[in-house]
Parts: sequence; structure tokens; C-alpha cells
Amino acid sequence: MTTLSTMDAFEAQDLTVARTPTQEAWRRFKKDKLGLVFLVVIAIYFFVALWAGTFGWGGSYEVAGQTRPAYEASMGQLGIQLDGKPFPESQVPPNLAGGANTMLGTDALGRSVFYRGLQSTKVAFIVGTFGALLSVVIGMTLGLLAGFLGGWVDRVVVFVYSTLASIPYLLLMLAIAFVVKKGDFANWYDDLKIGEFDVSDFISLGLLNLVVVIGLTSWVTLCRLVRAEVFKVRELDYVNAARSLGFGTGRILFRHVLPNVFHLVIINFSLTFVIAIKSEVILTFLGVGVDKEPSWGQTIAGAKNELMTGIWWPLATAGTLLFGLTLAVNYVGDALRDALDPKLKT
Amino acid sequence: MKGLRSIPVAFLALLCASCVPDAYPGEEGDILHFTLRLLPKTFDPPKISEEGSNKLASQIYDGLLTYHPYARPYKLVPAIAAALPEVSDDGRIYTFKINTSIRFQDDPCFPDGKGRNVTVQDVMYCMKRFAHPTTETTGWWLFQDRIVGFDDWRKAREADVTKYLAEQGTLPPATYPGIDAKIVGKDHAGNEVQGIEIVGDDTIVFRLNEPYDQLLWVLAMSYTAIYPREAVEHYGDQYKNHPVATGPFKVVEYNPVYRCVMTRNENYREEFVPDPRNKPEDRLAGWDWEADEKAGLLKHAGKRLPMLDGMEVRYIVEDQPRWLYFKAGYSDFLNPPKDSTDQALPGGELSPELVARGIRLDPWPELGTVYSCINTIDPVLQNVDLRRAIALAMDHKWTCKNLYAGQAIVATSVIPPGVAGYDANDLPYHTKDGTADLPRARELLAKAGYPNGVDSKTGKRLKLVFENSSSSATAKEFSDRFVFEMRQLGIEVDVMYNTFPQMIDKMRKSNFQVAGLAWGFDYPDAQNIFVNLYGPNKAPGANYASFQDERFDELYRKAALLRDGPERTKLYEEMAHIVSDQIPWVTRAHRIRQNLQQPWLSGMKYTEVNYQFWRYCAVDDAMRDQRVAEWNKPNRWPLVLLSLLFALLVGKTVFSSGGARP
Amino acid sequence: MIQYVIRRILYAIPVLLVVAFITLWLFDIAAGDPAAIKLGKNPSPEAVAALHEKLGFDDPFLVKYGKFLWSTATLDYGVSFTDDTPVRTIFARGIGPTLSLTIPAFLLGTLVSVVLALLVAFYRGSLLDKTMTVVAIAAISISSLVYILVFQYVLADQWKLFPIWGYDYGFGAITFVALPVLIWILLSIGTDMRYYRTVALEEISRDYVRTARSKGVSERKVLFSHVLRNCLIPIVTRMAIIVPFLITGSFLLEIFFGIPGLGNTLYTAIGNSDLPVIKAFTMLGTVLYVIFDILADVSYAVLDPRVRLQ
Repeated sequence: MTTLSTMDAFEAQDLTVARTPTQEAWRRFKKDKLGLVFLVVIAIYFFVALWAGTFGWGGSYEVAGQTRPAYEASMGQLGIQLDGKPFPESQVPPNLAGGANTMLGTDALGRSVFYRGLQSTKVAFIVGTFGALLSVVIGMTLGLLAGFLGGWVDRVVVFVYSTLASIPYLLLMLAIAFVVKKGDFANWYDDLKIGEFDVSDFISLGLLNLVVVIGLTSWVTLCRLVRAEVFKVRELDYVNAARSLGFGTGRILFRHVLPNVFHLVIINFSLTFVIAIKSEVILTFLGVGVDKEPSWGQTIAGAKNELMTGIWWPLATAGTLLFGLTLAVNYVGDALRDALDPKLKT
Repeated sequence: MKGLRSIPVAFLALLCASCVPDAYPGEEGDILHFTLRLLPKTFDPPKISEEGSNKLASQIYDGLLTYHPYARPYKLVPAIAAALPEVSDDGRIYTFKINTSIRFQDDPCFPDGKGRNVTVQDVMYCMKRFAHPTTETTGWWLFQDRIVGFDDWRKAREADVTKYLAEQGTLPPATYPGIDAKIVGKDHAGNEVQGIEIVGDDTIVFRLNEPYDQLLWVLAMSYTAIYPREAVEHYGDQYKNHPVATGPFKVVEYNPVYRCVMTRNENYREEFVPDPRNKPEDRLAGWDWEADEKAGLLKHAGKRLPMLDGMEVRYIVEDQPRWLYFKAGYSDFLNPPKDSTDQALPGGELSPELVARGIRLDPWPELGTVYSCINTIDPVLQNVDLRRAIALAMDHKWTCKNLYAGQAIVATSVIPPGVAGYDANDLPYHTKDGTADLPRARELLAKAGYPNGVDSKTGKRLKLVFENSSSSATAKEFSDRFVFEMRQLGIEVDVMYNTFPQMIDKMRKSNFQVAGLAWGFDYPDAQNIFVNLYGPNKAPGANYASFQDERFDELYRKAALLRDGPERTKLYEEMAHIVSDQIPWVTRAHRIRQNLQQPWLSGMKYTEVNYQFWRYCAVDDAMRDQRVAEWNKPNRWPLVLLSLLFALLVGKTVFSSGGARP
Repeated sequence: MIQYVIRRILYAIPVLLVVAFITLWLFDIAAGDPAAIKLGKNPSPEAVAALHEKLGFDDPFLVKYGKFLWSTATLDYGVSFTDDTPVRTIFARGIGPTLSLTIPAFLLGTLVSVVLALLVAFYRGSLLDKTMTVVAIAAISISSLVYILVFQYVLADQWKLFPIWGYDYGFGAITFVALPVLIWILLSIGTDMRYYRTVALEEISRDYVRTARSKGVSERKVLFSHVLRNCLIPIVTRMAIIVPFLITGSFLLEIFFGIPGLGNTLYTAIGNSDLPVIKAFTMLGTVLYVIFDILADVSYAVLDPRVRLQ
């Protein structure tokens, strides 16, 4: 689509030879100070998710009004000491009296909005990372194969993605979600055991559902881009050279072609990550999101009954935390695109 | 730069567009405004089974009987019937005299466009159309095996339809009348059904197989409303959008996805707001009218109905806009949905802001029971001690206080207060105050073979699946609570979130363990809820728990033959006792619902058993106009500020660079 | 050209066949028993069986597939499960309100995006450019549900700047769709503005711009007559891709703001497991997508003489 202007082509020759593409990209990325800030933000979110991950899902079930020792035990599991403070009540507005438990208020079940918001980071990262990973793996693999092998493989891949792309996105997501979450699959998955290990205890159905839905519905864009790029690359001299040296298809694909399209993969990963987190909210609103684990989608979808009576803190907390992560990933993704795109030189 | 100018223009356009218009433009007179939570589906009485349609249809239709608007416990009063029916001593013959001075609304379906008088043939026609298979009513269960020969008549019509289909391939377009004329060829209003007979000009007699005291309540439901044959034939399958009847209002605009506008029916019969102070005949036995008078409900006593000039209904599916609509004064009353009363009214009280606006809170106990249904033929849960342990581990008091924000009372028995047979006493496997009794639950659990939740035979922890019919935030809170309660016993619970059809599908196939359900009464008689526990109705019938208890079934059959009275109430009490002992259901709560009313609304005593009482409301339109204007003064400075900020940013860039590109 | 179009249409047929298969298969697995919706409380087992018979609930899959294809070919998807209204009627009454929301939203959104994009492209590197880029990214980082909940509560309820809910089938609709349109623009401007900015920057770096500049044509004229004209191609093709979404609408905006359109219909249908409506909706979306995909390619060829269709 884009042709390089003569000026750009001229500048391109002027490249410093010593840097690897990765170093070059990092050099360019570093120039964007805001991008660096947001990179740090993502790292913080990631560590919060890890922190939440160490406690299991325990905190999500605990509610106010239960016997005190049980509540304290569950809080202790989260590393929170109640220190003789009074029981949090439901829907308490933010105040500092109860420490972190009521710092951002409590929700309808008396759970700390602050801790729940932080705990939700884990779901966001699981859904975002694994959803985007699945999507990227499918998109990249099919795109590489179609572009490189051409012929009937290409025709099949193009047919599959043009079919998938033509189904309304939301309905496709819903249909897959219904099958995963509500059909016989749900019962089967619920009983699925590998030896003594209960799979559904580890990754709940709701989470699996989101990952599958995101993965299966959002790979088309990347597949298209990769395929088009591979078409260009495979006719280049060095690939031909590799081929004439008798290298196998796999080796050529992964050693010579993949590095040329990898920037697309990284950019697309960040885009899908954001789509996944935002889709979680909509799918939860429609009743096919996660149900057991705390998630921002659950808090936001639940807030539709709360905001109108002035209970703004759950929505504000979940909304802000979600906004922070998506903004950071969006911005870093943008900066990465600028840094990785071989056509834009600065 | 032409393009740049369009930005401030766009903002200005937004500012202008942001002048809030009148929510009800061009409206005149005292029109009642209210909102529906669910879209209505039909105005065709035999198919009206859900809240949305029922609320609309109740304003348009009358049945033979109706509910008294204010008396509690509920009382029936005549509507199209001239008086309450004469009932024979054996309780099998009901004789209704029809008030033939009542007229249908004017409608093009009548020869001269003028509504004609109601006849006893209309009642016969509506009964037959209700039973006709092509009508596909959702309420046949109310009449099944009740009236002599009615089932046979329905079966004969089914055979006719099958035969007709075999010969002709498809049914004629208009449902009942078309088929009837072509394949039955008999008189629509004739005495064909053995047990329904027209006697003379204005009397209709129902003969029953067995006494069926609930018949009277059924005859006050929307299912059995009276409408003219002309309308059904005129509108055909579009009748569901063009109701014609005798009620106080008639439809002028019906949009099934947005709103319904009704206006006063000029032919409405002479009906008055009860005036017990001045008219002794209005003092219904058992009605504490003085309390209602004190509460201001009888403000318009003695006035002719309807005092309203019409109604406008809008369907707002989402909670937030529906609530904000009420707050802005655009709807005259609001009934927060069952599940979000607690969110709408934290702590069950109005916020000071709403109190200052003069908004009233009208609490009313819902005739219904929230329960957890247990599959009694499940390999694990057929163990009665396990079921009892589960029941005792559940803390209903906590649930009422926290999950219902105090807007519910602990359900000691299946029967809610206000219905004969309600028993507030200590029932088996239920603590008196509804709290959990964990020591006893653990004891029973051990007795059941699962000490501390571990199967003593296999050494495995017991795991149950809890089914939910919704994935709403409230459903999640309830599930989370159940998980916690069972965890205290050492039982693990997995929660499944279904859609309602999926859950019913599972339950019909007995493919579930524990399910969260609620039953709303169709009429205030405990028989209505016991149907769901009667042995022969086991799944795939309505008895999803597949509860089998000989004594219970025997009592059910015995009570069915009795009329309302202490003897039957005693049987109901014993039946409730059996349920509480055998635990096919864990009864949890009876909800108390809140109705919020604007200061300009009067005469409404809310309930959801019947909606015909809305015709007793009055609205002070002048007060409403004034308040709505007062409450909705726009605040424009934030938008102006934002526009200025943006203009500043653009201006600074444009001028500092002097138009030259960097 | 005509040959190309015909080939594209023929290619679309297997796509539609497969989509129909997937739609029917996925929704059939997931659907509950329609009897729960249609028959109300306490239906007798015979009534349930009769209903299943009538709806072909227990038919073999291939029979259902055949019927479904026939429905698609004749555009007759039967009647809705919930109220027996023909699906066709449901669509006919929803399309107007939906378009009254989406068309102004799309046109206004594109106008604002293009103008802002040209503006920031013109002053690239300035404070305005940087601010707008961050604002644009921030605008698309907020969940649409949060936008709706907060804007309805703050702008409509607290500040009374817009109606809370409602619709008007005449010109009065303008006031009712104003707030949803605003939200739509905020949701799309981030992506659109940045896209058009890239397009504009690409054009600015082309030779003809340099030539024009060197001839002394003013910078504004370069931007608004030369660059804008050449930007039209991506703008128009992008529009063609978006049109199907304009018709299917936005269910969140419609249900929260009471616009009785197709999105609203879809949401209700999902809530009621109203399969005829959901399936029809899926097929409608697919057919529209396929048609406008072809149109987008054709328009691309028409507008840009360098592109040749093969």
C-alpha cells in the first residue's frame, strides 16, 4: 500500500550498520519518554497480578457478616491484618478509618473494593495474555503457512478467515461463549480430571471461555497482515538463497521469514491484549464472562445498579484500574509500532 | 481554514442539542406515566403469562371478577359479573350473572364502530377460545381436569385440527374463528361444553369435576378476560396488537419495543372509588379501611373511575435509565426489580434527597417464596439427612439482612404470610429465627455418611453443583453465599450460571443437584405453590425436585376438594410441615418489595398479584409539571469550559506557529 | 471489472454456506429448550412434545440446515419465539431508529476525526499534536460500558444536558440521539483520528506536495486541497467497511438510551434465547459484510485509477 518516498529511501541507506534491529527499535522506543513511563505502569500492573496470583482465588468468596475468625482467616490469606478493626459493612463509602479495607469503600457484600480491584488484575492479565497469545499463534501460523506455501493452503486459509471475518464479531463471540460455557462442554470440563488434578479448579470455565473466545475471534487481522508480508518477503533474494542452499521449509519460515514479520506480531499482541480486557467487560455484562474470580468486568457490570444511587466507588475503582492498564498498553503498543516499523525512520 | 471552523460549530450544535426537551410533548390531561422493566409481548389474553403484558392488559381488560384495590388479605369483587357467583353446597356448581349493561369500547371491528353491550355469549366465546388448541394458551394448566367436559372438548378440537391439517396442509390465517368456521362449523357461543352452560339471557353456569375453590381467583386473571368475537375476527392474528375490551382505558398507540399510549374508554361502566366512610355497603368484611383512609389512599373516595385521562407506558429494560427516569419525574411510580431493591435503596431507605422531594416509599410483601430446589432423585441428594444438613447450614437471616438489605423476611415455611396456611412457628430443620445451626447440621451430615463433608466410604470430599438461572451480580452474590455456607460444612460447591431456558431444560431432565428458584403466586392460595411438589407432577412436570411423599400427595388431593376454611388451612399447615421435614426445597425468604411514588400520585396500594388497581390512581398534573421543571434545570458550564479549553489549545497552536508548519 | 464483481459474488456463496452452518451449529448446541419461553408455567409434556414437533426441534441437523438455508434464500426466518411476530417485521421496525443513531454518529465522527487529523498533521510535533494523540488513546482506553453509565449519570442526570432515555420517530430524534452520538464519537475518534493522521502524514511526505510547496502554494492550500483530496480514497473505503456495523447498530447504546433499534432487538433476543431472531441477525450481518466488502474493493478501484482489479 505504501511506497517509500525517495527521501525515505535515501535516509534508509544512511542507517548505522552496527545495531541489530532490536537494539535499533529500543533506541527509538527510548526516545518516547511517555512510552517509558507507561512501560513501567504495565510492569507495576504485572507485579500486582503476580501478587494476586500468590493468594489463589480465596478472597473472592469471602463476604462480610460471616463469623469473624473465618473472615480474618480469609483476610490473612490475602496478607491483610484486621487488627481488631470493626467489620467492614456493605457499601461503605471510601474512608481512611478502616485502612486498606475501606480506603476505596466496600462493595455490596462488604468486600474491600481496593483489594478486589487489585485482585482483578490477575484475571485481566490471564485473559489478555493468553487470549492474545492464542490469537497471535493462530494468526501467525496460518499467515506464515498461507503466505509461504501458497497454493491450496493459501486458499483454505483465506477462505477460513474471510468466513470468520464476515460473521458479526459480537455474535460470533457470544456463540462460542455459549458453547463453551453453557453447553455439554461445560459439564464435561467441570468433571475433567488429569489424574487427581482437577483442571477446572485451576483454570475456571469462565476464564477458559474468555481466552478461547478472544483467541478464536481476533486472529484474522494478524493473519492477513502476516500473509501479505510473507508474500513480499518470500520473493526476496535472501530467501531464495536460503532455498537454493536446500534449507527446509520450516527452517526458512522460522529463521528467515518470521523475523521479518515479527514486529506485526508484537504490535498485534498489544492490540489483542486490550481488546481482550475490554471484551471481558461486555461479555460479563451479557452474562458469559468470568463468574467466580474477581474481575473489573464483574464490578463494572454490577455497577449498573449502583451508580444511580450514588454508589460510585466500585465503578470508579474498576474503571480507573482498567483504564490505566489499557491506556498504558495502547500507548506502548503505539510507540512500539513506531519503533518497530522499518518504514518509519526518525 | 474552513475545516477548523466546523469544530466550534459542532460543539455549538451539541450544546443546542443538549437542551432537554419535554419528555411527553403535546400531552394534555392527567396521564399516568410509568415504565416497564420487560417488553410486553401480547394483548391476547390466553397468552398473557408475563409481567410486561399483564401490566398493560390489566388496564384494558376486565374479567368476570377482579381484586379489591385496597383490601388485604386479598378479596375478590365482581367486574363483568353482576355479583359474586352463587356456589352450590357441594362446591361444584358456580352460577354467574353477567352485568349486561357494560359496553365494549368503540372500535372499527363493530359494525357501526360503536361498542356493543357485553353478553353472556362473550363469556362462552372467551372460554372456548382459551381452550382451543390453535390459541396455544400458556395457561391451560389452570383448567386442566377441572370443568366437566372441557378437556374432552379441547381434545375434540385437537382432532379437528389434525384432520384439517391432513386435508388442507395449513391452518387458515385467523386462528380460532377461521378454523372453527371451516372445520367445526358450529356455534361459537353455543352450549357445546358439557360443564359450561348459558342459562337464559345473562347467566352462565360452570360445573366442575371436583370442587375447585381456586376457580374464582383464576377468573380474575388476565387469561380469562372478556373480549368480543368481532375484534378477534376483524384483526385476526394481529389481535394481539389491537385489544378491544371493557376496561377503563383503550390503546391508541402500541409500539411493542418502545411505548404504549392509552386513553380513557368513553364507554367504561359506572365504577366508583370505594367510599366506606359514607357508604356502609363499601365496607368490605375484613378490610381495614380506616387504616387505608389514614394513609391517604381514599383521598378520592366516591369519585367515578377513571380519574385519569390516560396512561403512557415506556419500556426501559436497563435499571439505571429506569431509575434516573423516575428521579427526573418522568415516571409516576417505580417498582425496583426484585433483585436490586437493595441497590436502589441502600439499607431499605430513601436517600434524604428523595425524601426532600416528597417521594414516598410503599412497602408491600410479595406473595412468593424464594427457595433452593433440591433434586430428590439425585444419587447423592436422595439422602434425606444430607438435605436436612444443607438446610440447617444455610443462614436465611443473614441473607435477608444483607443480600436483600432487610427487604425480606425469613421463610419459615413454603407459604408466605398473607396466605392461609402460613406458619411462623418453628418447623423441623429450620431454626426459629432463620439462622444456621451448624453443630446440628454437622451431626446430620455425619449421620448421612459424610462426616465433615467427606464421604466415609470413598474418602472423597462431597462436591455439589449449584445451578443459577442468571449471571447477574445479584445471582453471583447468592451463589457466593451458598458456596461459603456449604464450605462451612466441608462441602465443595461448583456454581453453574445458566440462562433461564437452559436451567428449566436441565431441571425438566432432572439433570441438576441444587437450583436457586423463586415462585410468585398467581393467586393467594397455597395450592398454587404445592402444585410444584405434588408427586404425580414430578419432572418433567412442574415438580422439578421429583418430591415423592405419600402423605403429602394424599393431603394435596384432600385439600383440593375443600373450600377455603380452617379445615383446609390445617391441611396446608401439615403439608408445609412435611416439606420442611423432607426438604425437597430449602425455603429461604419471602421478599418485601418497595414501591416508590411521586408526590403527585395518589390512590395506589401496590401489589403484583393483579394490576387492575392502577385504575384507582389519580395524578396531579399541575404539580407534576411544576416539579419536573424545577428538578430538571440544565447545568451548562462544564461543556462551555471544555469547549473553551479546546479552543485555547487550538488557538495557542495556530497563533504561536503563525500558520507556518514546524 | 464486472467479471471481478461476479467472481467475488460467486466466492461469497460458499462463505455464506459455511457461516450458516456455523451459526446453526453453535447456537443449536447452546440453546435451551424453546418450550421454557413459549409455553409458560407448568406445560404438560405433551404440549412440550407438540411444540418440539412444530418447531422441528428434534429434526436431524441436516434437515435443520436445509431449512435454515431456505430461510436465508427467501429472507423468511419465521416468527420470533417470544411473541410470534415475524422476524421480518421485527427487522423492519428496528432499522429506522438504528440508522437515525448510527448515520449521524458515523458522519459526524468521520468529520471530526478527519478535521482533527488534518489539524494535528498540519501542526505535527506541537503541543496540540501530542495532547490530541494522548487524548485519543485515552478515549479508546475507556470501556464503552463505563462511558455509557457515567455519561448517562453525569451528563443526563446530574447536569441535565441531554435526555436520559427516549426516542422520537420524527425529527425530535435529534435530541435523543445526541448523547449516544457523542459517546459513539468518543469511542471511535481515537482509532479514526490516528488512522487519518497517518494517512495525511503519508500524503504530506509525497513528491507532489513537495512540488506544490516549492511552487509557493500556501501550506493551508496544500493541506486542504491537495492532501485532503488524496486522503479521500482511504476515507471512502473505510466507510464502506463500516456500513454493515451502522445497520446492525450498537446494542449497549440502544438499550441504555432507549433507541428501539436493531441492537435493542438483538439484546432482547439474546436475553430470551430467541433463536430465530439471533440467527437471522447473524446472517444479516454476514450478508451485509460480504456485500460491502465487495463494494469497498470496487470503490477503491473506481477512486484510485492505479488499482486494477483482477
